[in-house]
Amino acid sequence: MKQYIKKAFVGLVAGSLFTITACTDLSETLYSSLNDDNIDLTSEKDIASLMGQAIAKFRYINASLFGNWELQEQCTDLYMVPFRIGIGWGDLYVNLHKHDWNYNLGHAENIWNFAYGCVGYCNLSLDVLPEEKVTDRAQMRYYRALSYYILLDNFRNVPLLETMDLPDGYLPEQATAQEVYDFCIKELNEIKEEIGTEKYFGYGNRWAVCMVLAKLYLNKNVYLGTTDNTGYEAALEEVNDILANGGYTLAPNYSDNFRENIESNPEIIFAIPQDRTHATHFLLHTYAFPQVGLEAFGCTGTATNGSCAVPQFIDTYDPDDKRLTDTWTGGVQRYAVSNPDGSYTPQAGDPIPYDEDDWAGEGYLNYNKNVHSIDNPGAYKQEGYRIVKYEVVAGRYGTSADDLPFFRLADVMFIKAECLLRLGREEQTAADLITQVRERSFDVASKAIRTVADLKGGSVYDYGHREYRSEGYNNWDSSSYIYTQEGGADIELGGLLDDLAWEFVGEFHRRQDLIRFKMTDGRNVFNGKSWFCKDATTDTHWNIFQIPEQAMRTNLNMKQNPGYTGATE
Amino acid sequence: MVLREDSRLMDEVVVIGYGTQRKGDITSAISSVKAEDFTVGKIGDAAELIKGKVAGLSITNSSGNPTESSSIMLRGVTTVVGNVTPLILVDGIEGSLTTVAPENIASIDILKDASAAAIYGTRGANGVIIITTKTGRRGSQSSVSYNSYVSFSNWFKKSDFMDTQDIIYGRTSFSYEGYDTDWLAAVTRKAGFTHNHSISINGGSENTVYAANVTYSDEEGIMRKSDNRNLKMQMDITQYALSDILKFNFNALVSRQTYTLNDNNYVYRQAIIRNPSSPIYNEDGSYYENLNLLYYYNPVSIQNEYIGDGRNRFYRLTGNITVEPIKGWQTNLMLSMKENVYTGQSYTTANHYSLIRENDYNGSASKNETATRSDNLELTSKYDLITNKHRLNALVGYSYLYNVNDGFNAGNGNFPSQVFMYNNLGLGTLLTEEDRHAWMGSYKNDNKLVSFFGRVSYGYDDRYNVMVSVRREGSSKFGVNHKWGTFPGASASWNIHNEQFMEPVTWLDNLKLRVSYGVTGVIPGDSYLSLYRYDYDAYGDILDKEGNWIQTLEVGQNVNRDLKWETTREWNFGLDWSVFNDRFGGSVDYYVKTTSDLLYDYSVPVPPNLYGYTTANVGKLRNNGIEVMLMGAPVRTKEFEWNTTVTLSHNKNKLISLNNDLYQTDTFHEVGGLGEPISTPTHYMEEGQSLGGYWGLKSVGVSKDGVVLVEVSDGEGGWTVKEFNTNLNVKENRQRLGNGLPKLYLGWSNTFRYKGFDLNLLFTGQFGYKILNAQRAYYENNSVAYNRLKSAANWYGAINPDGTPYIDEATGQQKSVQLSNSMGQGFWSDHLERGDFFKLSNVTLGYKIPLSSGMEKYIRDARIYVSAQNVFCITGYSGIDPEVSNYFLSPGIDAQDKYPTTRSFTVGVNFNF
Repeated sequence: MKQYIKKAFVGLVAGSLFTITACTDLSETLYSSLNDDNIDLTSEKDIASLMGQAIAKFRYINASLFGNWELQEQCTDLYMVPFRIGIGWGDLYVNLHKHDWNYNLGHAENIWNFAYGCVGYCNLSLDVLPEEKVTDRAQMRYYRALSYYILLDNFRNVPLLETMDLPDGYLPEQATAQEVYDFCIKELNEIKEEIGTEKYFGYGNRWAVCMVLAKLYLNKNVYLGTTDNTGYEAALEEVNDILANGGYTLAPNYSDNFRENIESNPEIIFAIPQDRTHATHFLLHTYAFPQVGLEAFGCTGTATNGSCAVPQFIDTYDPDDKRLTDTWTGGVQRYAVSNPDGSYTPQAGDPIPYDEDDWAGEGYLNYNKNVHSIDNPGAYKQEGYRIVKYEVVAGRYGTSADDLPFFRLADVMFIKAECLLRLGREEQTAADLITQVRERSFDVASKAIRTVADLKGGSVYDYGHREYRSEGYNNWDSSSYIYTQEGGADIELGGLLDDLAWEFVGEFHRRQDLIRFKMTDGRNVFNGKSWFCKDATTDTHWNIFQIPEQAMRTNLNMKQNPGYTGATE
Repeated sequence: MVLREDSRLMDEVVVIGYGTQRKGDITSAISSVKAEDFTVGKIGDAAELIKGKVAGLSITNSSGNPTESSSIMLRGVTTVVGNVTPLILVDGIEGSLTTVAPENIASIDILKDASAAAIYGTRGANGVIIITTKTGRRGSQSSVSYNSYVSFSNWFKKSDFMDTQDIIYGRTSFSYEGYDTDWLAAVTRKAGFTHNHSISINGGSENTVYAANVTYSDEEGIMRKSDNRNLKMQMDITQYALSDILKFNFNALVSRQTYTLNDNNYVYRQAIIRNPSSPIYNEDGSYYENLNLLYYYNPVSIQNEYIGDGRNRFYRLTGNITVEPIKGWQTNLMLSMKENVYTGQSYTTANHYSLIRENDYNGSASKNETATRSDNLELTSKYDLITNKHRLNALVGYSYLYNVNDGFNAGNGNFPSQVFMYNNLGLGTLLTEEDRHAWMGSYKNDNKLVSFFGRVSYGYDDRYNVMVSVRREGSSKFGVNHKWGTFPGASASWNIHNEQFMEPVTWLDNLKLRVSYGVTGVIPGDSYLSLYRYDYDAYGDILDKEGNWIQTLEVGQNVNRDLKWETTREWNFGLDWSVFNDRFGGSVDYYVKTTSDLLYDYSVPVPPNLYGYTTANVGKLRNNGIEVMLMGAPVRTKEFEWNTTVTLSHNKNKLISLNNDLYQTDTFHEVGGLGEPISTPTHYMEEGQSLGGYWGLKSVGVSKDGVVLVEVSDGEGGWTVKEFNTNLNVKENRQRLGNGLPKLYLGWSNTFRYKGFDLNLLFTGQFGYKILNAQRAYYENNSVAYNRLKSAANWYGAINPDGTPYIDEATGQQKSVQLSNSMGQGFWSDHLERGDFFKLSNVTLGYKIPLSSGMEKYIRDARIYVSAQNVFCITGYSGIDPEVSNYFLSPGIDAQDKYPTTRSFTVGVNFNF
C-alpha cells in the first residue's frame, strides 16, 4: 500500500511538472469568430465577403435610420420630423429642420462612418484583388468613388485614402475639395470601360458611372466654388451617353419605381437592393405613421408617429398630379382589406377609429395637412401628410425591405434638361424632357406639359416662415401665427426646381438641389428662403455639414469646417 | 471583530492567500469576520453577512429582486472599464458571493491592500475576499445543527404617483376611464415570503474529518413572478495517512438554482406610469390596452404573457493531496474542476403586447444554454520554521487556470398550439417560412491564466514581522508583446507593545504599526481583445451578381499587440491597538493606490480604421483613503454585555490621465446617461477630476411660464439663463453638479447580551453624495403622456431669468406657477438630491432557550430569533431608498423603473445537536 501510494504520488508530481512545461503556452484559439489567421485573403470567397461588406456599408449609408435618406430630406422645404406633442420624440430632428444643428448631429456621424467604411472595405479589397480581376476592381472603385461623392457633397473637406496599407497610428489629413473631386472624376473615367455595360441589380455599370460623373459635374460649381459652364457641358455629355446607349426606358407608372421590388424596372440604373430576409434597413414606416396608421396598409410593424410633409410643399402640387397621392396620404385613413390571395388592398375598408387630437371631430384617423409648429408647441398627433411614396408592405415589413432607387432614367432626363437650360441651348428639348417624365402622372396630357417659360420662371412654392405657436390641436389662433411672405418668383429656374421636388422628393435629391439653385440675389435657395419654421439667412456654412464629433476628437489632424464649433473644446 | 473573553485576539488565525497567519503576525491590511459575528436574518448572499462590518468594503443591494445579489467595491474605483468586484475565493477557488450557502461559511477574510493581494497577481487589484467554509475537527464529537427561518417582506416605500382622484381633477393628460386600479398591487403579491433550511453535520475521528451541509432556500419576491429557489450541498472529507505524512482531502459542492424569468423592471415601470382609472381587463376578459400611446402597455399582460424560467446547475469538485515528509514542510497538489450550466427558456404568448398586432404569430419561444467551466491546478509547497524567537514561513507555488465558456440558443415562433410553449421548439412555422425566420446561435471562447508565485514571511520575537511575495503571471488574454507580468508585494509590522520599554504600560494589549507596498493587476474582461478580428456582419448580407444573397465580413476589432493588465501600486500604512484586556481596540489604515495602464475602449479615427474603438492600456487613476475601525465593550458584566463596532471609510479618487502618445483621446468624456426620451449623459470623466461627477444643466428656478430655468453658455465663457428646451441639451451648457460616490461610508454594529437574550443592531450610512432621482426627471413633468408623480402638480414661485421674483401684475405678488405642459422631459440639477442616510439595516433579537439537563443530552443549544431588515432610514432623499447603485462610472442614479427595495421580517431557529 505504502509503495503504491508513493508511486502514485511520484506519478502525480511528474505529471504535473509535465503539465507546467506544456502549459505556459498562452496563445489564443478562436472558436466562433475569425481573425487574420483563419481568413484567407487570397481566396475568392473571402475577398468576395470583404467586397460585399463595402456594398453593405453603402446600403447602411443610405437606408439606415439617421442615415443619408433622412439627412438629405429633413433639412429641406419638403419634409420634416416635428416634435410630436404627447409622444415625446422628434426633438432630435428639429435642429436639422431649422438649420440650427450643431456638432452632435448624429446623422452626419453615421454617414461619415458608413461612407468611410465603404471606402475602407473597397480599399481593403483593392489591396488584395489581383490586377486580372478587372471587373471586380472596377466595381470596388465605383463604390469608392460613389462614397467619396457623398462625402464631398456633405462634408466637402475630407480625407482621401486609396489603400488600407498604412502605418500604425496613421492619422489622415483632409484633402481639398478639388483633390477629392479630381480623384473621383479620374477614377470614374478610368473604370468606365472596365466595369462593363451589363445590368446587375445592385451593381454599378457604365451608365451608373456616367451618372456619378454627371452628378459631380452638375454640382461642380458648388463643390469647387467656380462659376463657369464646363461642369454642365461635361454632365451633358455623360447623360447623352446614357440616353443614347443605356437602353433604359421610363416605367409606366411613377410608383413602379418605389415598389418593394424594382429589380425588373426598366427605369432603374442603380439601386440599393433590400430583402425581407437579408436586408430590412429602411424603417421609414416606423416614423411616418402613428401605430394605427399602419393598419391602412395591413402593416403590423411598430410605428411611433413622427415625420410628415411641409404643408407649403403640399400646396405646390397640381391637384391633377398623381404624384401627390403617389407620394403622400392625407385625410381620413381606412383599413386595408385583405384579398383572397393573401395580399392587402390599402385604404379600401372602413375608416380607422382614432380619437387623439381629433381635429376633425369625427373620431377617425385623419391626417391634417396643416401643422402647428416644428417645436413650439410642436405638431399634434394627426397633423401633417404622411409619406407613402415607398411601398408600405403588408405584414411586419412596411417599407423596411423596399429596394431603394438611387439613379433612375428620369433623373438622367432632368439633368439633361437642367444642363441645357443652364447653357441656354435647345431649351425646348429641355422642356420636352420634363414633360415626358410628367406624362405618366397626369390623366390629361395637356396638364403634363411644361414650357420653357414655366421652367425658367419662378417657383410656385409659397416661401416664407409659417408657424402657429398656439397650443391645442384645434387652436389655430391667428394672433399666434408667424408669417413672412417671400414667394418663389426670384428663384432662377424656379419652375425646374419645383419639378425636381415633385418628381424626386424622398430620393436623396432635395438638399443638393436647394444648394445648387440660386436666387436672383446670388444666395442659394437652401439659405436664402424661409419656410415652415425655418428662416432665411445669409450664413452659408449650412451648405455643408460639420466634420462629425468623433472624427474630430480622434484625429488631431482634422480641421473643422468653417462656421462650426464645439466638437473639440 | 467582537471580543470574546476566552480568546486572546492576537492568537486568532487569519486566512491569507495560500495559508493562514496568526493575527499578531499580520503585516498588511486584512480584515477577518468569523461566523459568530455574521449578520443574522434574511441573508441572500455572503456579502450581506458582513455588510457594515469591514471598513473600506462598500456593499449595496439596491434592489428587491430575489435573484439580484449585492454589489461590492473595495477601496474605491480602480478601473474605468470592466469590473470593480474583488476576487472572491471560496476555499481557495475563484467563486462568487453565492457559491456556497451563507450558513456554511466559517469566516470571511478580506485582503484589502496590494501587498496582501499581490499573491493573486492580475486578479488582485480590487482586493480579495476569502470565504472559508466550515469543516470538522480531528478528534471532535460529531455534531448536527439545524438552522431555519421564515421571512416576510413588503415594499420599503412606494413612489407617489397620481391616483384616480388626480385623473378626475385633470392633473394628467389621461382621461378618466371609470375605474380605480392600483396597478402596483395588480402586479405584486400580498407579501414576499422566504423560507430557508440548513442542516450541517461535522465531526472527526483521529484520522478522518468530515463536514457536510445542505441548505435549501425558497424566496418569493414581492413582485409576482420574482422568486429564487436554491438547493446547495457541500461535503468535505479529509483522511490522514502514514502518520500524517499524507493527507487527502475531497470536497464536493453541488447546487441548483431555479427561478422564474420575468420582465419585472418593465412591469414596474408600466405599473407606475399607467392610468389608474383604466381597467385591467376588457369586458371580454382580454387585456385592456391603449396602443396609441408609445411604449405604454398593460403591466399585468406583460407579467402574465411572458412565461419562462432559468436554472443553474453547478458542481465543483476539489481534491487535495498534501505531503508532509518533515514536520513543517508541506507540499500540496490541488486539482479542481467546476462547471455551471445555465438553461433559460421563455415563451411570449400570442397575447403579449409584442405579438397582439400580428394575427399569424401564435407565440414565440426560445431556449438557451450557457456553460462555464474552470479547471484549476495548484501545486504549492511551504515550509514553516518556528523557534523560540524566530518564525519563518516560505511558500512557492504554481497555478494553472483554464476557463472555457460556450453556449447555444434557439428560438421559433407561430406554434400550432400555445400548449407547447418552449417545449417543442421545432413545431413553430418560422422554421420553414420564407420571410420570417426561426433563430439559433452558438459560441465558444476560452482563456488561460498561468502563474508562479512565492512568499516568505519572517517574524522575530513577536516584535518585528516582514513579508515579501511575488507572483509572475501570464494570461492568454494579453497581447503578444506582454504575455507575462510580475506582481511583487512587501510588508512589515512592528508590535510595539511587545517591546521591553512598553512593559510598564500594562493596560495596553496591542499596539502595532504596519506598512506595506504591493503591485496588483486587473485583467481585461474578455478573451481575444488583443486580436484583429473579423465577424460575419449579421445585417450585412448583399445580393451577388447571380441574384443570391451572400454573407459579408466586417472588422470586428482592432489589433492591439500591447494589450496587458492594469497595474495598481498601493502603499498602506496601518495602526492597530487594543487596550484593557482587549476591551477596546481599533485600527486605522491609510492607503494610496495608483492604477496605471488603465484599460479603456479608445476611440480611434475612422478613417483609416474600420472599427471605431481599440481596447488599450493608457490611463492613470489614483485612489487614496482612510479606514477606521473602532470596537469596544463599554459594558461587560456577568449578566449584561454590550459590544459595539464602528467602521468608517473615506475614499477619494482622481483620474490622472487617459492619454498616451499612441492613443490620444479627449481629456473629457461624457458618460452615464438617462435613456429615452431624455437621452442625455449624466456624468463626466475628466483628467484631473474624480470619477462619478454629475454633469448636466443647472436649474435655477421656474419661469413665469412654468418652464424650468437653466443656465446655458453665452458663448463667451459666461452663463445666461434660459427656459429649458431639449435643444439646450448640448455639452457647452452642461456643468459639474456634484458627485454620486459617497465620501463616507459608516457601519455601526452593536451586540447586547443579557442572560439568554442577545440583541444585534446594525446601522449603515453613506454620506457626502448626491442621488439622481430619475423618477423625478421622467415623471415630475406635465408634458408626459403617462402618469406623473404627484409632485408634478407642485406650485412654484416664478422667477425672472435674473433670479428676482416674477411679480404678477394683477396681484402684485410673486406669481405661482405649475410646471408647463409644453416643457419636455430633461435632466437638470434640481433632480439631484442629497443622498446622505443613516439606516437601521438589521435588528435581530435572539433568545437562547434554557434547556433542562435531560434535554441537554440531545440538544446542545437552541436559539430562536426575530429579525428585521431595512427597518428605518433617516434621510432627506425623496425617492424610495437612498442606497442606490454605485456603478462606478455613473454612480448614484436611482433608476426610474428599478425593482425597489423591500423591508423584511424574519423569524428563525438554530438547533445544535
